[in-house]
Amino acid sequence: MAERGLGNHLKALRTERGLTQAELAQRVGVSRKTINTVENSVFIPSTLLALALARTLETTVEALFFLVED
Amino acid sequence: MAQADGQIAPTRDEGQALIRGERRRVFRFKLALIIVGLGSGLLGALAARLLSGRPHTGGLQDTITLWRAPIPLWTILVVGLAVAATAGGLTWRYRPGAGVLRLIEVPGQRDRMQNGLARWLFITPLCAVAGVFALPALIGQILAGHAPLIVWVMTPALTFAYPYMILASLLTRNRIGRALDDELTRALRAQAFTVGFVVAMIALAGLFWLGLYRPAWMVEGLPAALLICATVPAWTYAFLNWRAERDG
Repeated sequence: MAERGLGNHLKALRTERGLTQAELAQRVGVSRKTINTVENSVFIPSTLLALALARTLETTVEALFFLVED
Repeated sequence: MAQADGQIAPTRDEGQALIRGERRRVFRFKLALIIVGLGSGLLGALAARLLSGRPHTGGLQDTITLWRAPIPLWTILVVGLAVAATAGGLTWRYRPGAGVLRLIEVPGQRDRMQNGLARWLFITPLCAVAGVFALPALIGQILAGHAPLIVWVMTPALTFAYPYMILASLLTRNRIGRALDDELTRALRAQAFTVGFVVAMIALAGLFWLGLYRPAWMVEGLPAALLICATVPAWTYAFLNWRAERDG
């Protein structure tokens, strides 16, 4: 069975809205490191954080995250 | 879009225009810095020429030969000053504005607190080394029955202070603790504790086998084992935090 990873469009959507990592982190209520690690696919966020990110960026979780098949 | 803090975030088009504008500004600023460098180099060359120790007869009326043409030093001086003045003006005109400064990732209060915790966890084990290795001697004095009061005070302090400092930093639930406690921190902490558990098991197994061979050595090795068991997760957390800060 192929292993699945989580990709995301977080950086693209964030920069489209002219937000820095620190600003997005402040609006979501997490640290900048959290945004950094999610953007680089190092850290897989919880459903709670994924929903908060999508709401802050005015998009859906499906538009923000996608599955990557290895 | 309206935000909870009352600020209006840029729309998608406004955001892209903001990024383009910042790129232009940064490019011009870099260009100005290059001109400053060239102007400085020219003035430096002139200064080197003037201070080279060669005999001068006419001061700035002296000439140097560039491309087979004699050029008076005062011409180079004037050109250099003009370039420097122009570059200085351009640098000031295209200095980093509020937009550029905003794009520099200034850590928020939560990041600063988390980085402070990581530094604390890195430094604490270093501070505790002497105390942990002093414990056997202190306890030896107590068991021998001739320990002064300071030893009775120091021994429990050293025994409990070090684990307390580590655990309280990681497990605190007060106002600061809640601010530190986001889900990335929890994930890093879980990784650090996992590494610490593996190391603790190895250290205890090693001590156990050492105790079967030479029981006295096991007792002597206990402070080192205690130090390792607390230091490894603390340093692992500090490393993971640094790596997340640096490149995710």
